[in-house]
Amino acid sequence: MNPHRPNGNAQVDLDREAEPTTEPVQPIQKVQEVLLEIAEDARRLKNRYPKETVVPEGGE
Amino acid sequence: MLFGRLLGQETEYAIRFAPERRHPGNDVIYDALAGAIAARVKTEPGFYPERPQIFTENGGAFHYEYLPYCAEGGLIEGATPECRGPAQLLLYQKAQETLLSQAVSDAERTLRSSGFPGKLGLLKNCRDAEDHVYGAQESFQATLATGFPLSLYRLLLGGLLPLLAATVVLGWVVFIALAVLVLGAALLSTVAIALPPFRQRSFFVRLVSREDRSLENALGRFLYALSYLVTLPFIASFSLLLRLLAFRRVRRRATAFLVSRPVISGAGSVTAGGEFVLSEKAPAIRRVLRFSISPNDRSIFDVGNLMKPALAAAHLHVAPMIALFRREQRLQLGLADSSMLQEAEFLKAGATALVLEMVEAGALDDAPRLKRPIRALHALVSDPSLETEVATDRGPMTALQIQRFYLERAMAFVRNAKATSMEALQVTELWREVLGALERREISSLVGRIDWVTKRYLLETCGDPRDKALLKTIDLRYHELAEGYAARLERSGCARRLVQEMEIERATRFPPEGTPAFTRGRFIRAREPSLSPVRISWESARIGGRLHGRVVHFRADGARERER
Repeated sequence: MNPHRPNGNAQVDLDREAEPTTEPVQPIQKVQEVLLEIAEDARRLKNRYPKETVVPEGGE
Repeated sequence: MLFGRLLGQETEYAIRFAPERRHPGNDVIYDALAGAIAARVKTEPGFYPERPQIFTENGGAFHYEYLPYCAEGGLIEGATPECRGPAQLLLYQKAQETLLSQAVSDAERTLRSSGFPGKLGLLKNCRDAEDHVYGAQESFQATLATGFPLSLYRLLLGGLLPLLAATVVLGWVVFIALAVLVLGAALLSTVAIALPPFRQRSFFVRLVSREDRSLENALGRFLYALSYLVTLPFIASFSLLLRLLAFRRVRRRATAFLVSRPVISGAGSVTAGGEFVLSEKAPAIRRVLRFSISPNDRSIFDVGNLMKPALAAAHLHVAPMIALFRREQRLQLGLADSSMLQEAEFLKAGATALVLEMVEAGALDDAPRLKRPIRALHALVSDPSLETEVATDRGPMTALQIQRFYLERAMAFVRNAKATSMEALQVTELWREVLGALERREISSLVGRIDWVTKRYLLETCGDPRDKALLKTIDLRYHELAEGYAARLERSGCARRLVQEMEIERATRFPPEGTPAFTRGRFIRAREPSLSPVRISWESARIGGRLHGRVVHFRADGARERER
């Protein structure tokens, strides 16, 4: 499945808690869940990840 | 036959290790990963004992890629087996990533039990947060030259042999002199180490120390500089020869395609200044054709793979040098980003293979030629709006217009081919879809399909333009195997899969048929551990010692083996 820019030009509301639901997961909801997860993960890692992944002399 | 040529990829993976106590060095991490891979599939060691390398039973290989002056800061390089066609290449690239992903957790446990607890990850990317560049290289079987230019190439290459022989002799003299010096110093240090005042200062202690590797790296830098100087006359002459005669048709007719290709195959990157560019590697490209063996001499056509076999003569291996006289050679592209999305990977390899087919068939003799290719490359990848025009012999053209030219030619070429190829049709159809969406500026429809579009979308939706660290984290983490953002999008169904898990799992163990990898893989699979030691190269396997052992050659058609 291709999200095709879910929900138009929607931005993820990072401050909103994900609400539990028993309804079947819809594609757009699924995409938003992934985006929320990615946003949280990036904020959690941002102070160390770029340093941890440095390759001192590069490569070919 | 379309897609009859061999193709493959080499991918350098950055190592991320977040230690709980101390970092073991990437060379130790490589050993743990190689051990974990060997526990999952059959492997055999590579040909050169001094080079950490393993070949796997699917015909591919892994090795520790490092510079002599930074032994602890290297990368994991994975090489796919030789494949035929982009679908097979995609399958074996994913098999490589699967093997590495599975090995990560096992390697983590090994490191923990060795006193290095921490979190391990691998990034399939090409540029780190400090703008060091590394990453992917693509290889395609291609015709080096034909007719008179080929004869002239062979003649001049033969003329360089005395210079190569002199280089090898000089190299050995320098090496022996240095070895005597270092051994002498080590001997003195060993004596000195017995004396309390020198115990902690000894040259020898520092040389073998795993804690402080500054002396080892300084020695490595000196040797690297020395080998660069010793080989310079031969390499410069050989480079000149390659510049004059090697892959001239491809360079003339495919350079515009490759320079504009990042619009469909770029991985996207956030620069140190916070700007978004279409490609990770393109901004670091400095030449059309490589001129030296320096890793910083990055080029669109990377002929370093032809220089290395010549220098193998220093190890008294002449077969790689003889192979340089062949008409068919491995054309290596340095202008190559690491693709994360399956459609992007398939399109990148497929479109490029088709362009090479057309070049060799004479179907691109009127292809646009860029007036200043490197300047054009840097301008095109710096403009995500895709509006920038570059100077060609047909007047100013955008990247999309250049790609449109090649696509139209490819569609006609595939349509008129003697034998219909479904795979080629799939490539042109995907190319048409992607290019059409870019031309109509329906760019968001390519989220989950094209890497730079997808990464940019994540940066816009999950990032904050004022927070550079957050943007760079998204940029980098996008590329991490298993836990990265591209992988998460794929798992959640937001990115299309072209190959399935079961196929990939099988490809970790079985080599592609009809290729040299098939005999290599079959050889590794059939080996009994108790037999004589074996060392594998891309061309052959040596069983037993150098003097009394035997050699099995892997044939290009993958059908038969020849022994001597």
